[in-house]
Amino acid sequence: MELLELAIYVLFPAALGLFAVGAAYRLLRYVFVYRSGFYVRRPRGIGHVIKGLIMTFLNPIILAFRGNAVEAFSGLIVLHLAALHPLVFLLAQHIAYIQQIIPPYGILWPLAIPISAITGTLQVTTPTGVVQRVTTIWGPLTSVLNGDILAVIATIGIVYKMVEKFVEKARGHRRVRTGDLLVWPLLLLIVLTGWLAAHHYPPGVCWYRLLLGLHITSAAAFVAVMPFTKYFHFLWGYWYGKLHEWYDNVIKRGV
Amino acid sequence: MTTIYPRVPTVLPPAHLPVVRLNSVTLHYMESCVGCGNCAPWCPYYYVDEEFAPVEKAELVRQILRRRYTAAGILAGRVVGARMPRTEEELWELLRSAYRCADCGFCYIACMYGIDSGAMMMALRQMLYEAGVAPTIMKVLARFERDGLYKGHPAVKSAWEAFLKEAEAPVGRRGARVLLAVTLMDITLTRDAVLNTIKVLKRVGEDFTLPEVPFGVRPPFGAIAGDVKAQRDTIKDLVAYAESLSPRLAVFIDGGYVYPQFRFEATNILRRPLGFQVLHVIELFAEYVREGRLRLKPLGIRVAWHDPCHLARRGGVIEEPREVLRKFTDYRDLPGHGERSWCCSGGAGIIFLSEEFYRRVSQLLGTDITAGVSPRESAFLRETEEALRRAMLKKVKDVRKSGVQMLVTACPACIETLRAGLKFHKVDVGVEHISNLVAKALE
Ligand code: SF4
Ligand code: SF4
Repeated sequence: MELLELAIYVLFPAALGLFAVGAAYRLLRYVFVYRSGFYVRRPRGIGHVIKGLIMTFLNPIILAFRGNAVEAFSGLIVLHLAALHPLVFLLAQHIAYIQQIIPPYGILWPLAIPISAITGTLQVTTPTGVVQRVTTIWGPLTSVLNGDILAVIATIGIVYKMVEKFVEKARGHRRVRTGDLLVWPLLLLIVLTGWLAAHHYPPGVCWYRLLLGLHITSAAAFVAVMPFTKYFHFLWGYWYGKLHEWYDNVIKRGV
Repeated sequence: MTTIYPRVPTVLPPAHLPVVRLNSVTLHYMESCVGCGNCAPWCPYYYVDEEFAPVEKAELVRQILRRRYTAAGILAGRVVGARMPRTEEELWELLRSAYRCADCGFCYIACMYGIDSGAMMMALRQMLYEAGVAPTIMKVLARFERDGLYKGHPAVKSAWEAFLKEAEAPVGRRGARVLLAVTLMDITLTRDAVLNTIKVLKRVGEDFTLPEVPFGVRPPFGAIAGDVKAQRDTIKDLVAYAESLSPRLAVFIDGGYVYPQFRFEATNILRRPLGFQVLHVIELFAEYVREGRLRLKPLGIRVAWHDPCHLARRGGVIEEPREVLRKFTDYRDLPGHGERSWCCSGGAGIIFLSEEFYRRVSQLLGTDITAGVSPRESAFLRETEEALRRAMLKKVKDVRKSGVQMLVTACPACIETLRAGLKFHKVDVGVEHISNLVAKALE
């Protein structure tokens, strides 16, 4: 079996399975070590509690910009909101592929992002042989909101983060662990192979199948290890952490 | 004479470092940090050295937890950022980091993932304390309080009696509406504020009582020393005493950790509700103002409120002091205020870590506690003092910018820290406890 077939039919589904097991393990641990508290809350009106909820989520964003605007802009806005999320979840090729595995995912087609700026109408060829024509809601926005531009932004972001982590490690920062040094190159590999494959570059079916195989394999590796890493944050850590903080500070203490 | 020397005099072999138990919150703090550094600029100690950024300090605890509680940590150790300190030297290194955190909570609200690095540092203090590594003054005062030694100590007794004589207020009266929970630290560091609080209570005709003996040293001292048993025993003892007097309110003059410990943590420690409600004196004053019982004449001075972290960010008391101060002063906020106030940097016991404080406590207790101090601890104390001076620069800058004549606050540790710090950095702004100012403005 060649790499592409292995990646599509074995590795990626296996990675999803591992992901599910890992995610369940991580979430169950929270249940097992949970200990209830006995607190007398400060009575506050519903308005205060809702405002507190909004501020709990906004505070770190405001403080991030005040603390280090460049880092906040590049890390939070460019890398997360502008590049990675749309690229991973909305690129037409990805929607088509994920839809094959999880059919309801197709609901996102109206938000699909084309691979390049040439047209807002998508002609998608995926390894599973599906051809889709879609019109997205983005219209002229696709001149910036397209795979090419997002891949460039993501590449710059990832390289920046990678260099930053190596520099921090060299400066003796404890927070940079070996995993951090491995995962950024892995992300870079995912983006670059995907981009090259999507553009059929280098030309030739062999290259295409090899690069796409590598793209899916590296993505599978990332998906499989994700529940065991800090990258689980967007599914769990972020929401649990902020909601716990809201309970602790706003509901309990009335801040 | 009763010895007040530490319960754990020797250092345990580090292999036995007692690791705190994991719960869902510490589990989250252990596994969700992404190392973004968003917390760093809001920690006063980050400006002393980057290694004291909240994320870097808390990573030390994460390393220990990973080593103890994760399969990867046990199997792969350092490769996955898991590490158990091995030598006494390392434990002292950890102690240094543990005391570069005032548990102010600013990093908590700045973190995208709600990670409370201050709580992690308090967990570190607990582990170190159990292993026998803690500053002498912390061990002495935690024990002194836990065992109730302060109740019969001759020097404390005479200081308390002299205070009661001056206060001329009811003592140990059952059924009074308010128990004014005056601590030994209150009458030592902010005696004027205690006497002025009593003056205000008398003026409004409050039905109140003082305790028969000090309401702890600065209870529960174990909470900041890392002595969990002392924390629990002290709370148990003092809550039982307060309940024996059946007040409706227990009111604290200290707006430091004492307030949230009794207001929020005591019920969790005792696993039951308290027989009284806990207030800080500023909440009581605000209540008087709202009811029209407290009339204050304008003093015409420009003041700002310094939010003690444990009263505001960790206590939820933010509006009340402003409500009262606006009645009789030319009030303005500091640039960083309320939930986003800069910490004075001396909280969680850091202000006590100086040779001068060791001497003052020795004098108070009539026992030379400096006798048990090793050269290593002396060096630690000097370094901590120096770090505090640098850490508070953000606050000093804010005070300078505000153009106020006086800083008003409510925590003895903040008052001590700010007075010394502003003087050191040549900022001519006074620092007063709110009770002093209110008493001055009484009509
Ligand atoms: S609680 Fe305050 S002092 Fe401690 S690490 Fe966080 S910001 Fe720094
Ligand atoms: S802000 Fe939170 S996630 Fe980021 S480094 Fe600090 S503790 Fe970790």
